[in-house]
Amino acid sequence: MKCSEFREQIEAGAPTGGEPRRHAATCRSCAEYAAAAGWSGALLQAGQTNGAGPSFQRLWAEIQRRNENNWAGALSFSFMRLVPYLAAFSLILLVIGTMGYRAGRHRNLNTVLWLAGSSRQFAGTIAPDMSKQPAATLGLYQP
Amino acid sequence: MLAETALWYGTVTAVDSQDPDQHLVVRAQAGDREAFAAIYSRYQGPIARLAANITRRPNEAPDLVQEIFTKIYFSLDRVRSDVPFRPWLYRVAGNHCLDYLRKQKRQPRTDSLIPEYDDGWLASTGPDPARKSEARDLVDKLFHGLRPRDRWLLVMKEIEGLSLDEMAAITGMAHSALKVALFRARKRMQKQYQMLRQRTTI
Ligand SMILES: [Zn+2]
Repeated sequence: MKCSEFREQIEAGAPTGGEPRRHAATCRSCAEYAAAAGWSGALLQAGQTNGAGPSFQRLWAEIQRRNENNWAGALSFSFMRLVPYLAAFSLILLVIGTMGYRAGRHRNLNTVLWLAGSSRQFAGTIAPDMSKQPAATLGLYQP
Repeated sequence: MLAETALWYGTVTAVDSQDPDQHLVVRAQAGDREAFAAIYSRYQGPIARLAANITRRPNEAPDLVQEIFTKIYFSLDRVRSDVPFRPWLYRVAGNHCLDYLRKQKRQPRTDSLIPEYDDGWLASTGPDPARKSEARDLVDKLFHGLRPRDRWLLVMKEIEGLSLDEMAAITGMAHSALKVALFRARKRMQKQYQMLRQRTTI
């Protein structure tokens, strides 16, 4: 009998018959294996403890609670993923709004200038050079 | 029929395609509450016993079992129809208990008197509640010094009485490796016992 067979039999329960007994008598390591298995098996059987699970209602309530949290979590996760896109979109809106506002102001200025007939050179200008002084822009200031 | 199949927690060996739990699992996967209740009813006892014995904290078994079955419920869609459910369940439960043990800070051990443990003492532990309590106390102390994995293997083998085939399906270990691991775990427990005896008898 091989050692592996003997040990398989030990793990399957107490081996019976003369062959395992003869093997244990001649193989010291298998005898030690059998003794350790018997020792721990008997001790753990004697010293085992018992536990109980919760009621199924309690378990199910917990599952429902986590299910709802998972949905809330998934939604907030989705929203968090959208935040950079929302920020970028808001920035684009801001830029477009600012440009529109400036263009609107310049159109109004041009209209005023055209109405005033102060200078033809500004009549077709939509975006005058804003780095110039207002007086220079109006042609009233000559450095 | 043996087939190696990759699963959530590693590899589970399919030992039998005729899995008695499969129809319940399929129904539970479709959201059938009653099917999940039937699975719970079938396995809550063994899983509670497994958790109580691995952690040696029976009072915490309800919470552990709840966490394990909640995890099971939310992982049902990963259970394959060609893999037996029971080993997978035991694996999830065992891993959860090992995680629990690893997260626990080591509690100081009280070195009360360790009974002289022999065959006669064991034989007398059966009907006497005081002796039974003494045996539980002894196992508590011995397990305190064991690694979580040793506890898991010993509980599966000595208390749950699982076969090597079942343990191989649960742990993904070969028979030969399991026998070596069991032998070492038992020897470590014997060593713990000798150390405790020395400490309390001096
Ligand atoms: Zn041998």
